[in-house]
Amino acid sequence: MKKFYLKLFIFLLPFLTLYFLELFVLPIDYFSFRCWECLKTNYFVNLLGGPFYPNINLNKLEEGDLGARTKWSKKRRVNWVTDSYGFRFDENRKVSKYDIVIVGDSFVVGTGLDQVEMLDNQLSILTGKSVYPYAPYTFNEFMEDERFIKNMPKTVVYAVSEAHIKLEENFLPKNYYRPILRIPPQNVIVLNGLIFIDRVIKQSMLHCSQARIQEYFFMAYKKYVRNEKNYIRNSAIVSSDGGILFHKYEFNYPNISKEKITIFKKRLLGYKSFIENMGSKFIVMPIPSKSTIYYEKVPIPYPDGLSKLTNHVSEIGINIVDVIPYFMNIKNKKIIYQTDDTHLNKYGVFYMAKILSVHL
Amino acid sequence: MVFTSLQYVFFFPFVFITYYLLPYNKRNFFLLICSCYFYAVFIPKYIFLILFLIIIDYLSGILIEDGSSLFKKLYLSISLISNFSVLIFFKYFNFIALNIEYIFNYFGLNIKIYNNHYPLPLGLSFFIFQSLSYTFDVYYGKIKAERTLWVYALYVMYFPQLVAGPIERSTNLLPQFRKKKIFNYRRAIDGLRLILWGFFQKLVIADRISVYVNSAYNSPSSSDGISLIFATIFFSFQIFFDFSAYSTIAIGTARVLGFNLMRNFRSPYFSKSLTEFWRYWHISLSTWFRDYVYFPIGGNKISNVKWITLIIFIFIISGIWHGANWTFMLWGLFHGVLLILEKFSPSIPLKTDSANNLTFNVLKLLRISRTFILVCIGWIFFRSQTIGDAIVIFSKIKSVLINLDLANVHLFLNSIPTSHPEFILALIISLSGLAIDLFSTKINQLINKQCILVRWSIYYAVIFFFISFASFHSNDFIYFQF
Repeated sequence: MKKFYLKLFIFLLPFLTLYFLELFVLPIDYFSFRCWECLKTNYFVNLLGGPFYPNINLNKLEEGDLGARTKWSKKRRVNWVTDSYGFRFDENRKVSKYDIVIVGDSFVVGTGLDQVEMLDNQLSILTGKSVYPYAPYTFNEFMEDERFIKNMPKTVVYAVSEAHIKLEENFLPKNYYRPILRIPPQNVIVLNGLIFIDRVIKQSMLHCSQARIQEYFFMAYKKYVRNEKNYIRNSAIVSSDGGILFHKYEFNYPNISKEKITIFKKRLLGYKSFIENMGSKFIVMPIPSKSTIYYEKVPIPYPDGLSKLTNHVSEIGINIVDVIPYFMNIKNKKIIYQTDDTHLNKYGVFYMAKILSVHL
Repeated sequence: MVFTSLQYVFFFPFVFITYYLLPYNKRNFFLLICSCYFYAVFIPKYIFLILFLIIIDYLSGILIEDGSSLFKKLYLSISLISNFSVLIFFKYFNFIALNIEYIFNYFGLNIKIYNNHYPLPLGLSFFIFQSLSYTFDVYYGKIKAERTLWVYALYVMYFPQLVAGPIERSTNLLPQFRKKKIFNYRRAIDGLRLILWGFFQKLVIADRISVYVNSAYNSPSSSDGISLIFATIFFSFQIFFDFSAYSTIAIGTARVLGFNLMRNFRSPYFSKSLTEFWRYWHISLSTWFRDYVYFPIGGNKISNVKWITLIIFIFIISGIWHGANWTFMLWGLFHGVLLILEKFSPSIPLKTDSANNLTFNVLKLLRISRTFILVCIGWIFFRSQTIGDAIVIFSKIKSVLINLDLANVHLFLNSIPTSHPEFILALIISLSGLAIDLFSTKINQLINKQCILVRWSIYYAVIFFFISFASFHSNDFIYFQF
């Protein structure tokens, strides 16, 4: 049996060595082109307190999710700072009670942007108020977070991207309401231990290696079998002028059933009621997809699904910020989305902050 | 706990190392604790359900053995009723209630029957059938009743085959718990090789193919005929590799621990007839029905009419075993009818002394193709969510095939999605997997003859291929839902 264990150990040695390198030698962001994947909490979300590893300061050269390692890639150096709760937020701006909290997804997190270019930061500069980005979490999760139940901000903004509105999702019913106080461990050893175990489970090297190998396979197939000169990622399509990448399966709400609109309105009314009962203001701000604004470059017929949805919602007395008309006016003056990514660039975020500041 | 989860990667080495460190008389109890933990990871409270059935069958076994012939049948009946009641309650109650409601509503009597909201206990059909095989074997005198409760409990709950088989026989598995297990290097290596191959089948082949199958079958009305044809063929590969993967990992795990489980598949898609197919597909279930239903009722010794009825009955029950849906029943009925037709229709016998004859090989290939096509047709029922979906799929496939002739076969070939590299990759991997499965014994023997450098190179190559193309967005094993 000793012979078996010894042979097994020698056989596994290359893999153990690679694992050792990943966990103890290489930097945390070595296996990804974006900070998001490096810092995202994989397993111990509730134990670690938030969506990302807490108290991290990472400086990285990033690429867009659509154009990474292609000729369309636009590399940019960004700084990511997370607070003690694991949200992308500078701990120095921490206050006991915020004026505004923005609940949303990767757009609010500021994917592809530097820390200072984030929506919360730009809004804070424009309004002089304290703003906190509660992302990437759902509104149901925000309502269950005791940190904000105890200190509800004056205004809560639900800034959800068009692709993640999820019309069929229901408002959290009372009997499922489970307030959770998410506080990461204060003990440094425990915190670092949990982060370490989370990284072990995440297996970044394995997933990165697989992604690269498959990419080379598909690249070779497209080059030698289909004679395609320029490699483009499977999920991406190039605009008609060849300058911008779009997500192949980007969702534009072409046809929305009445039933789904009703569920969505009911959900928003639930959120509004919850927030207003706490004495705060509730604002909704849907963020359009890139192909909704630059539809002619895709090209697709004018996608008015989100606009129609916005109209339906405003009819029931919800304070909704429709950014589409503003974006349509400025889109040709300055490109407002990252050309190699699905998210807004710093100009788009700035305009969004400006529009929102008017509604506050 | 799923075999392909990270949890299992830590669980199994722990079990293996501890098992061989423990003294012999503590090992079975340790395996029982591990098996309880393995099952409790799913829904902890269902441990009590399985323990309840274990106690019933354990006592039934003893009472059957010790009782008079009159009471033997009574105790067997108690075991059967208990097990089938649980099975019907958890698995078929809502289906039965729905159909009764439908019948009453059809006649204008609006009724509402209570719906069972309890999730289906994982592996219910498997461990119930395994448990019943024990009580039947005791009843028929094939095995002595197990007097030690926790040994019997381990027989039912033995974790490698607890959730999705193979459905073991008491005559095979129970005696193994009494034998002293000494670590065997060769056996451990064979076991690990099987585990690696099982992971490959599941994560590289089955899960990769599932993308095509799901995209077509989840909304058949919006899929075209050609996509549905390929989805059906891919599903036949998917279900085979998915199920075979589980059995292979189970057998490999057991072998490392010194146990021999029965083989569940023998390259079924290379069968020359449906009769042969059912000898090589899900062997543990088909032999269960053969030994405990078919032979006791009469088998081949009854009249043709009775035999036909028996075959139809067995295959319908086999279909229902898979799930509470009319589609499964239709699938079973389809196979039953074809088997009957096969028995009574004349065929050209394949002469084995002309093995090198071209005609022999062509005929063999035609028969294999025919059997495969028939099995694929059956899978349409199996995979469809409703009968309506199955009808839509059949009509779309039919319209493609009706319009297919020599003049436009190039149009058909052009519409095959060869422009998608993922499609080509999935096709190559599936066909390679079938070939490896067919020649697995010879491949194994060939590998064993090589020096350590060559063997390890092969293992590293397989692992590299595994890492490159495995789908880590893990889908549950298909047979978990049964």
